Amino acid sequence: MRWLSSPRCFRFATGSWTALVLAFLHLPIVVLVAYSFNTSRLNVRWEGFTLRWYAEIWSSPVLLRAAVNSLVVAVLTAVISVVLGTLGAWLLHRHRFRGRRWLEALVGLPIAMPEIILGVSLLLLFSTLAVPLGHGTVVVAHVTFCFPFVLLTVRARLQGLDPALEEAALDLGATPLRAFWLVIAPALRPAITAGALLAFTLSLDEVIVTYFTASPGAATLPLRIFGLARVGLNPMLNALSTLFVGAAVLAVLLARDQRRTSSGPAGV
Amino acid sequence: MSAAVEWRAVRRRFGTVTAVDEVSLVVQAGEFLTLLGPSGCGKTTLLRLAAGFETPEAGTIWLGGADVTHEPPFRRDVNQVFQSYALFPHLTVRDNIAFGLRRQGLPGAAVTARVREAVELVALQGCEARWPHELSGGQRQRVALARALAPRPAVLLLDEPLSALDARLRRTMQEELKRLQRQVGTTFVFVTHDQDEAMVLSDRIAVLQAGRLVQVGTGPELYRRPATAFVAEFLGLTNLLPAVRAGEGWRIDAAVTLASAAAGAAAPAWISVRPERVALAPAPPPGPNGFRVRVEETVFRGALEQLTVVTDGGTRLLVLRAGGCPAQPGQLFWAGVPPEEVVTVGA
Repeated sequence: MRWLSSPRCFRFATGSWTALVLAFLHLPIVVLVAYSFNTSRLNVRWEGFTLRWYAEIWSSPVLLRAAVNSLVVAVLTAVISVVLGTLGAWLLHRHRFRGRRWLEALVGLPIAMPEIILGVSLLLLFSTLAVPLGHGTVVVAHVTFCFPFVLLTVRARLQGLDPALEEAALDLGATPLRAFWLVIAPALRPAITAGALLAFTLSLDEVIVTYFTASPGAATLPLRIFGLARVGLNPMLNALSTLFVGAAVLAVLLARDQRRTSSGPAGV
Repeated sequence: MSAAVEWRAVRRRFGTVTAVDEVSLVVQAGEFLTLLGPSGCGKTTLLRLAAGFETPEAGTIWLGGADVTHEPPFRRDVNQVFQSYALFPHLTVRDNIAFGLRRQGLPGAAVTARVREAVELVALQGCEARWPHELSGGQRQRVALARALAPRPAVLLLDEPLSALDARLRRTMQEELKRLQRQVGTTFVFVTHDQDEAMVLSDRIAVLQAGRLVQVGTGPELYRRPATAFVAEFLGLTNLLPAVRAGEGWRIDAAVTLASAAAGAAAPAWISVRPERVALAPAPPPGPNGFRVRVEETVFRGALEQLTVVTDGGTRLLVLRAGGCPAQPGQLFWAGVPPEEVVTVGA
């Protein structure tokens, strides 16, 4: 049994195990993507290559409308989350006040809260206040669970920042506002960008909270897909999902890239 | 001479710890003053009070004859060199140095000229376009100096700026700092815990202990006439001996009574005798303060020989003398201390 402990055998074993895990995780997505190019209406047999389903999405006004909704909501959510999250992180980092620890714990709560509870509670809030459901309510709902991610990302970066940097800026004649803009914000840029991409991705593929807070006209793409899937599987869904997977992968790669540069020059 | 910086009865607490306790100190314009003390003695807090990063609970801070106690840092005509350098990582060397000049609203051409001047001052020509992370420790140090000096502040504050450098580079930078200060004539307030560095650099040294100012004076003054046992021990090596008044002199033990040139207090006190001021000879010395000692231990220290000797009364003394023919343990000598080298100090 000596061969089992040889480095070559060990490498082979760990390599195949990794491959198995990766296959388990991603094979369904590969199948989904593959069938989006299948001429057959059924997802069980491969018949031939086509881009028909992608064309069908393009000619469906309902889906296009939903896609635009999704993008608008995701962009707005990312922008608002970045502003709220960055300012929040700065306040928590810079100022000592009564109840700061409580506030910090509360900020992380939407991340841990089950989405269904968040959705129901927001719906309750909106109907109590008699706010009509629409794009606005969806954005508000998404911001509530997206901005904590930005806040935590920026907060982590702030904690690694030399406190003397801000003092040096003040010392050299910058007002606190200018010091933030000229020195702190550039140092936080990688964290802010990573947080924005995270918020964008989270908002883009959110279903449950959106389900409770969107009007039919403001329905996002994942909601439409959910609706279609209930009627029955359809290659058009595969095509849509493929586009989504592509967008999500792109955003994750960009965010990772940002985090990598943040440990580079700016981290010195 | 006028006062460049003045702390008047300043007090600053952090929680239950009093970091600075009723400190009054004046730094003259053009002076190189060092705040010296062990960590936690309040020297950095004193510096931060002058920069405006801290506000005192009591007392006032004066810069150039104006009360700035409640002025924010960006309205004070002082610049600081930080212990961590705090160079802006997203700006090149040139833009780091220009930062303060741009905040003053200088026109572009003037900024360029002043940056060039500052770069030449610290001998960093050719590094203007580099990023902070591409520089060595010594170069970062120079950029931090140039950045703080470029706006031509009335006072330059330096918070242990050499502590991150290795011993050799530290020596070079000490010489350079001294030269720089003479060249620009700016008032320097320097913080360090290294008594050697303080001696090399400063016109005057202010010694702090547990938030209180203990003694201010030139290096030689502090070394020769320390006010307290703490100062005597903090600056260089010394023999600190409990002594009792006995007639005209101070009794150290049953066998040794030393005469002191200083009138001194009548109360029991400490006397401080620097180890290099104790002379060892085979015969009794001509003057007063001669007593017999036996060599207990010898340590070779290069240019100097360090001996521990014991008096007939059992008191141990440290003696430093130029290396030559080394002494042997057990050897007997006559020790002599000139009365002016016997210094009485407070507790």
